[in-house]
Amino acid sequence: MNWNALLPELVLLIGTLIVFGLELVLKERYYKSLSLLAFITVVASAFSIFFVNYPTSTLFDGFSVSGFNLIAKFLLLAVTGLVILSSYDYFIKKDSVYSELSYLYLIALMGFMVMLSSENLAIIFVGIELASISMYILVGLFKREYLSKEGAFKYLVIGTTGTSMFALGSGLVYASKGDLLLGFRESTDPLFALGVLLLMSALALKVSAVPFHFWTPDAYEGAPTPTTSFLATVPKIAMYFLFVKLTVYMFSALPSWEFLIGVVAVASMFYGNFMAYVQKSVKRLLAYSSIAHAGYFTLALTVVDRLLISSLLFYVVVYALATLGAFTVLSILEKKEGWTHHFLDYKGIFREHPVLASLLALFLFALIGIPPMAIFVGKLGIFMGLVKNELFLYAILFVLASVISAGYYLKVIVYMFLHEKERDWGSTSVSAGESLALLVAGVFVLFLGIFPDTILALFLRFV
Amino acid sequence: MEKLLSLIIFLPLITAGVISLIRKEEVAKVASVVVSGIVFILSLVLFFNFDFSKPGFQFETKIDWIPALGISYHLGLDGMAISLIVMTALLFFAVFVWSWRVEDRPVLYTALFLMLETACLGVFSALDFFLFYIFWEGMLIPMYFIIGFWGHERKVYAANKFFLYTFFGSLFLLLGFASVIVYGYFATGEITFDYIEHLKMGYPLWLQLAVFLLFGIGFAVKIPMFPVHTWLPDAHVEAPTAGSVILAGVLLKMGTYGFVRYSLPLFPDASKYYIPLIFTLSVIAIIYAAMMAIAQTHIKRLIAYSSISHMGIVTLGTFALDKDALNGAVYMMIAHGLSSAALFFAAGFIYDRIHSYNMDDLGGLARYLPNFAIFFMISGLAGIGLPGLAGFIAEFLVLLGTFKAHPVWAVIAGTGMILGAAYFLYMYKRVMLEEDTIPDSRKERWAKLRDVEAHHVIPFVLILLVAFIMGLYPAPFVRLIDHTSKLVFGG
Repeated sequence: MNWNALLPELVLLIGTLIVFGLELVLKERYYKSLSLLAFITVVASAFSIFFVNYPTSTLFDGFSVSGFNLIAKFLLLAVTGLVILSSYDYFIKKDSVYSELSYLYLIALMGFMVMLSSENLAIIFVGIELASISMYILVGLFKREYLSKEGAFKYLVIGTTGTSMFALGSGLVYASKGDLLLGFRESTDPLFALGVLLLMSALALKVSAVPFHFWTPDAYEGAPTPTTSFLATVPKIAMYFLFVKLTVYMFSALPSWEFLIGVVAVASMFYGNFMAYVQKSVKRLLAYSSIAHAGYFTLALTVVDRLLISSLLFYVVVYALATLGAFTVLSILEKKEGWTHHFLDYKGIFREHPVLASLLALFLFALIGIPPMAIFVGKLGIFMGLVKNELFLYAILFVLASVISAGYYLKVIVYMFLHEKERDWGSTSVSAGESLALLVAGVFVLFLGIFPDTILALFLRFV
Repeated sequence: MEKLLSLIIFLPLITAGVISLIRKEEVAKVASVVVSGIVFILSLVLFFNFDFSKPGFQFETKIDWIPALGISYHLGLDGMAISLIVMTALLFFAVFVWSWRVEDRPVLYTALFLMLETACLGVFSALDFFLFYIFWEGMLIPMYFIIGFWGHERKVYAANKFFLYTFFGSLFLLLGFASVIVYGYFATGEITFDYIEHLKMGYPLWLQLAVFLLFGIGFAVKIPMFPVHTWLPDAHVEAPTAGSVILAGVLLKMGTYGFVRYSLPLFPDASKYYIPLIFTLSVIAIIYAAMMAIAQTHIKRLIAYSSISHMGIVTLGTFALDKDALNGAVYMMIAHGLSSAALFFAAGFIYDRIHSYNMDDLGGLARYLPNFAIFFMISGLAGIGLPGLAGFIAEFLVLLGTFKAHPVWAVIAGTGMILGAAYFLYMYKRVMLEEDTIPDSRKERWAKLRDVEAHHVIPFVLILLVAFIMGLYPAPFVRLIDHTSKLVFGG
């Protein structure tokens, strides 16, 4: 038994159990301290990654460690840590503390880490399921609010469909190949094709790509905003790392797989971008923007290419940071009485909160893809990668969709900065955790835009 | 020296960061003046160390940046770039001195202008497509907020129009860059964003013809050329004085700079092919904008149209494909940068004192503001190209060069310059002279007006002094700019 390979998971597990046990005794009053403990667990687990020897595997090859997996885990831990820090004050101010929150994030994270550590479809499934169930609870945490319940229910029904598709897909692949380990050779077996198709659909559902996107706007809107920022970042990073792995080792074994993914990608890009224009709520707008981004990301998976995959992962990471920052600003604003995230609420908030408004503007400009923010490099990398592989049509559609997206992000900025305030909202407070999360997200969005090579070179080495 | 260039570019940005952390009004104002002064002096140091007998780019820095995509941090200057950098540094210094009395959110104001300065200096020194594009876009956000925050009545409309037009233009530019890089990849098997590498490639004609248009649209919006010029009058009318000065003095030059730096040397055959198109648009701009200027009663709108007209002369000279004409065009960029800046300062001064830009509310001011009247007169004369001032040399060279190969175009363009004299003198008459038509109540009020103060005099004197030097002793400047022409045309 190679315990060293399991080190980050073990640390996380122990921490989760401690938080879980303490929560039973301590109840709501100590919510803040429990969150802090959860954060410390995440930091410890992230730190332990540096002591893992790789490449290696354990549990009869069901659990493997590689540079690629470790980077993914580290990024997941980092972003989750920021989410935990940015979330506690919101629930305290909203007067609806559920201290289960502190360990639910950790369990979901655990699920993703297990999912990324395995090359075995069955274990990947277990990881996805663990994460998904925790996230259903997270979305429905506001028991008294209709929207939260509706979002959670939708998410539950559609999400379960997704996991069952994954299970059935794995089963069919096993029936065809007699093996669950990744690394399939090209095959035209109809059973295998159907299995891969189901797996692809399941993943598309998890990353909210068209036509499996229906849960996204409602879950995003219904969930408490800090949970939305978890939902929009951590699962995305995890799923794309998995998507990359499955594409390379499995999907590419199916003839004309590129076409399937291409259709999904193009549909998501345009559907997400156009729908975002008609939204009245900034939170829903960001949900549709994430559908559009799912389109950009899956577009990068239409061909197996090192540059393309590295750019994709780079893009996902900086996208997660920018989204995390944007949702953190939203959750700070939401602490105000009666704040609904309607566009009109944002009128002239620059006058009142110059720093918050500027930060939100920074993150939105980043999402448009304006240099020197990091997403520009991600977009550029994907574009160059597509062109390199002579997928000119995709490249042009990608550029077109990015251009279309600029308008709705700008709309928010215009409302914040250039309109006069209509209503007095009263003040809001920024907690230490939130300011740290904002600072880290802001600095990295800029830093990675100016020095993208720090991460990009890492991906290029391990992909 | 190589490091000095990077220092010049990033010093304003660092200062912007520092003052937005300190958030003290006095600190912001003093720091902006001091730092922009230092940048100006350092740019002069570079200027005097520039060796114009040596061909090629100087003060080059090249550091690998994103090797996976062939992107490097590559800076370098030639004669045109160093001249524009000195001019930019001078104008920003002038703007900061002028803004000494700004009361509305001065910290944010100076921080945005300092960011803008970094972007402008960067555009003129970048030799890597990616780096260039970052600086090029980097100027968009500060300028958007400068117009949107400190502008006049319809500032939001003007800011949005400015943003959408220029953003739209830069997308074409981005597509253009992407196309040549893609071509470069398939031709050489390597992705590179380096300008020098691309100079050596020699694109085929079909690519030149297509990409020239993409680049052309990107640059034309910024210049702005007819028919994409409509954002400029609005932006100028609504922008605050300092914003107008930088917009007219520096930002418009980015477009023409782009033509000289990228379009001409990268697409020589396409440049030849598109001469009729460019000439038609330039001449329309020269004549039409000058006519529009005559019809205006709003002084800033008048100066804005005169800028469009002058930029027409620059594009005409650039694509005459003649060394003299190109020298004239670059000379014009600098001359116009100085004169339009001075004119917008003058318009801003009038607004500060009388709170109107409309000629109907003005008249006879020369009696009450005698010193200002002199500055205003010289600024205008510099703009219309009076001998002895920089604009004259520029116009002369452009017409001379264009006349050699395209005499008809040169003659038509020449008439635009006569119109130039007409609209400026007309404006001066309505604003500064014409005492009979103003009512007595106004005279009483104007008797109390204060004339120019120190923070007005310094910008005027600095800018007009340079305009005089460049007009009276052009030889060294022409030789400096000739350095670029040799680079473009070879030999």
